[in-house]
Amino acid sequence: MDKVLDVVNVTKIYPNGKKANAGINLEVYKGEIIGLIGPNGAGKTTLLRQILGLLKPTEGSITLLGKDIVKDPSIIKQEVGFEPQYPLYFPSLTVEESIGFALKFKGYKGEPLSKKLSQIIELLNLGKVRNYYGYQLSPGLIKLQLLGVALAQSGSILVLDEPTSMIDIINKNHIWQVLADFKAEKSLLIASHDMNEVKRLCDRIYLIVDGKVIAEGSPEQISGLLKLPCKFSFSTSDSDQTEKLLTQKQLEYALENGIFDLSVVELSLGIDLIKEINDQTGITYIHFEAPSFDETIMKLVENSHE
Amino acid sequence: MSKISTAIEMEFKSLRIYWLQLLIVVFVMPFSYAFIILISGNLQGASVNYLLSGYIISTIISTFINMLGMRITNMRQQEVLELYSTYAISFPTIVISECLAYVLITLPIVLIVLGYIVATSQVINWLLLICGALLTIVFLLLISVYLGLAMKNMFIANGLFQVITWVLILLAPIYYNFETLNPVFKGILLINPVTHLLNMVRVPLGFLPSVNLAYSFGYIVLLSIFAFVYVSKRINSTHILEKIF
Repeated sequence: MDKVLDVVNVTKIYPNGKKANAGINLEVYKGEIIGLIGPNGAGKTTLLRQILGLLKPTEGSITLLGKDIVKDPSIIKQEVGFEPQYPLYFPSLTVEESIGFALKFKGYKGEPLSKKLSQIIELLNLGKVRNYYGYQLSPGLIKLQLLGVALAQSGSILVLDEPTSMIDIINKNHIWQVLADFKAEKSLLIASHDMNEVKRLCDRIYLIVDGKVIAEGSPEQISGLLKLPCKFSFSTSDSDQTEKLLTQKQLEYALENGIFDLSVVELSLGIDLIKEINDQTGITYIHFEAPSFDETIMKLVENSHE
Repeated sequence: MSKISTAIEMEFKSLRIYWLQLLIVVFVMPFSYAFIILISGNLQGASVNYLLSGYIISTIISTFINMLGMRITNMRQQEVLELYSTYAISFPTIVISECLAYVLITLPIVLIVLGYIVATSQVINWLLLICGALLTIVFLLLISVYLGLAMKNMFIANGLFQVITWVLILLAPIYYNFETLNPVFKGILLINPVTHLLNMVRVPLGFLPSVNLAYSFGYIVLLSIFAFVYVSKRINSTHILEKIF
């Protein structure tokens, strides 16, 4: 596969001595969606800003399509579509103008400009607000506008910093579908706090804690890194009967608002238990993820601090 | 070129929300001062032109340093740099576009007042006037961009740029006669580049020089070169400010 982005041993130390990134290695290949996750202050946005040329790495190199971005910074403007983390906007520009200018800077004019602009606006469900000024938009709509600018501007790679933060659940699902469809033409690098987002979209994920990559792999690979108990939550049509069953089996559980929470050591034990409970009392709701990606991430972060 | 024209269009549309402020600062106030000068009954024609020529320079200084300079300082703030990074336009191109945009903003008042001066002047050296006017604009653009790039802290810049403008205008014979000053004050005023800008614009209109015109051109060209060298070095290496205090 062709390598689109190659981050090699990148370290960033701020003037106050804080090491925001420490020896980070990261690769993005063509047609991949890569996720960057980590706690607040881990260094995800610092890394993205270095990829965009907004911050200069203290050590290391970043190449885009084989070109060093420090020696040839114009490659960033040619190839990278970027959506910032914060809802940034020009107060006096309408949605149509904000995205339109991105297309104009890429060389679009006349009919192709109007066509592409309408395509992007419709793709992101911004039709109703296309003539709204920046100051009239909610933060969620501003994020959608920024995504539109990124789509208009991008060449071979989209770099998105929390692309669906502040966006409602319906638009969020729609955006995820849009981004998944873009895989065919572009690579994507997404920094996110939304575990559902990274699990759904990403081919590979980098977990950054305190400026270092502490885990890397597909969501399934990361989930299997640690042997953790299988946790699940469920409710049944007869809570009393279920409580008796769990007590008989000497299983520890929590019951709140009719929902049982418990954990078992082995996945197979959990599946057998669910079958038995369902046969006896009928399960009306269940949430079961094993191995749990979210739990694994939390444990990896905790372990790295220890 | 098309990126520059697109960026100028973008800048003008971005200023839409501030239309009332712009109207007052760039048109209403300057025109009202010019009008007061013109209707002042005690002034002769040549005196009016003397004041109006100074008035053009002070308007350009005020607009370029306080608006363009602040704009460039503002563009170096993290959020603004990040916002512009979403577009396929480099920082140097944005700066050039901003400069041209503010030249266009001041052009109406400059052309109208200069037109009046030229129409009412007895003597005009066109070549020197055009050279002087162009060098004045280039120099003030370079100084404004220099200040914008040098000043990291937008909050301090907000006050400091107004102080700089005030000092430059106060210590220059914009509204008073250079010849009537004592030698000490003349020496101080000759350090101020605005005195030389005034010289370059007034001498072609037939006024007596404050100092040899070649000296004024040389001084301004030298300062412009220093400013250009600094701007060239800083403009291509603009990253998010890591420390503004």
